[in-house]
Amino acid sequence: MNAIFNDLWGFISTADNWRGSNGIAARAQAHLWISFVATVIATAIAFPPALILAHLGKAPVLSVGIANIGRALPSFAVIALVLPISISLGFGLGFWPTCVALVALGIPPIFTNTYTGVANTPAALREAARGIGMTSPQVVMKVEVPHAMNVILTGFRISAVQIVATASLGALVGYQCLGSYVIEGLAQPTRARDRLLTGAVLIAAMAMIVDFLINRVEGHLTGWRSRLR
Amino acid sequence: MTSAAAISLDEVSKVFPGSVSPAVNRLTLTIPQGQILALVGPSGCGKTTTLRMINRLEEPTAGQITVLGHDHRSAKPHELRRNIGYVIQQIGLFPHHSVRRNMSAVLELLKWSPDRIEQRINELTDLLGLDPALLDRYPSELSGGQQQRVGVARALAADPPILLMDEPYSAVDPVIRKHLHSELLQVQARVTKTIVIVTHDIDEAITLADQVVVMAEGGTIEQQGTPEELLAHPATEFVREFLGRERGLRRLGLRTVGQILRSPSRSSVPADLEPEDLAPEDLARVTADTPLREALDTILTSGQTRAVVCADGQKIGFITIEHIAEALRP
Ligand SMILES: Nc1ncnc2c1ncn2[C@@H]1O[C@H](COP(=O)(O)OP(=O)(O)OP(=O)(O)O)[C@@H](O)[C@H]1O
Ligand SMILES: [Mg+2]
Repeated sequence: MNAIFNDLWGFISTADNWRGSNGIAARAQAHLWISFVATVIATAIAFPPALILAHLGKAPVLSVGIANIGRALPSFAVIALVLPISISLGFGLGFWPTCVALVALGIPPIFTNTYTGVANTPAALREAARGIGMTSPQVVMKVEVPHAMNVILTGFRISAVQIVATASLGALVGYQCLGSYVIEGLAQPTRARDRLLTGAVLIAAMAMIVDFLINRVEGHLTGWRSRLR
Repeated sequence: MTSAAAISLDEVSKVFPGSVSPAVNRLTLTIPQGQILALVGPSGCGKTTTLRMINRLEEPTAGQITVLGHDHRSAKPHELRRNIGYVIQQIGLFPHHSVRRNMSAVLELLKWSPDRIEQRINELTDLLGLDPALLDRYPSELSGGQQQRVGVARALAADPPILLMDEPYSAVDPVIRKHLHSELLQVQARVTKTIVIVTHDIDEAITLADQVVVMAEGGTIEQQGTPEELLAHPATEFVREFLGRERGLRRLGLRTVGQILRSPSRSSVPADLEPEDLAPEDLARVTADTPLREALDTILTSGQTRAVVCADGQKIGFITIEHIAEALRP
């Protein structure tokens, strides 16, 4: 146990390991960047249609279907599938094939939670909102979304955390990220155990930090729920 | 009724998609301005549908609805609704907003300035007798009666000329309900709206309404009239049945001791009574404000046939069972 910790600490506390294009700083930044881009794209793709379909009460089967497809879809397979397409379209290795897989991973929780949260708005709330003269978009933005905010943010958080954790796979197709340490470590399990450990710990830490931060936002935006009796 | 119509329905029908029989069938109804009209009838007879057609939450399949002189389709639905307060049974306060923001919801839609909103909230708090300390709470932190008041405040916020209420008091207990009834009447005395209130409760209709409309299955009108007219002359067997067995007692509930004391034909102090008979200590006491129904109950409970009428602790007369019976005579 102690040896493991020493390995890890030894690697992380060496300033040189943080510098340069293959250093911890650069790889962590790249890791965050691809996660961020993938989360934004996944949100842009999943959120609006989920909102509209749920508001209209359409396609409840589709929403369940999307959730199930999402669960069944292995990100590694998606990368493998997208890789040749990406190369033939000139997007190359690395960033884009990984990003596509991460987006595919991120869509289902956002879609399903947004759909479920909004669709479960109590009928009386909708009736009251329309009754006082809100337009449809106003009902969505002023009532349905705020009311479902905790469920929506939970979906967003699940997506973001999964994306951060899975972005490591990018290392397999040449995207320099925290996953690269894991790959390097796995290639030489005895000599590069410190790299393996560093990669694993940093990926976990980053996922936990993202989880924590979004949780904070969630608590902030849905404070009224804590006062429900 | 001589006052102008605030709302009129002309041969209005509603057939819901997928159903054969209409929920509301060729309904023609005039709702006078500045009055409280109660829509009563058995469950499923189309009361809610009628109300929701007035503010276009439901589109009629046939017929015409005129609101304040305009075809109600001449404005956009959401604009129409901002001029019609709407209170529903489940109240439907926004749980994610404070009481204050619930009350200002319509005002925000109408883009009022914060100062003006603040001022209006104060007026409403005063009008509905709300404790200002409640303004910063969330709806879940209020009692049922308080939520109901906030629901009415929200509906009245933009001072709409019309207020639609769908079974607003059915979820609160009878004591609070009675309280809210007298509050609504006080509010009405101050701001004079055209109010349409849907209820199952005939006593609620009698207490609140200037006009009562009894609806039967399929949204057809059995009778429209003042509570007194309905109770005295129910037009059909259906209405008679609906008004219940205690029509006479309910009519007595509509008038007070003061109203029959004041009529010159009924001398309040019969001449053949000795002064000591005027105030025997064992007689029960009522006041001029006491409804006749309650006065009768007081008399019967006291084991006598009359009661003393008091004002400010002074005895001002008598009321007897005969006086009360006379009140029901045509
Ligand atoms: N959205 C709808 N789709 C189909 N049928 C409906 C719909 N809304 C109401 N109905 C039907 O129309 C009829 C009238 O309903 P409505 O809600 O107006 O009755 P109500 O008089 O308000 O009854 P209650 O006193 O129980 O509230 C009922 O038979 C009801 O089943
Ligand atoms: Mg109803």
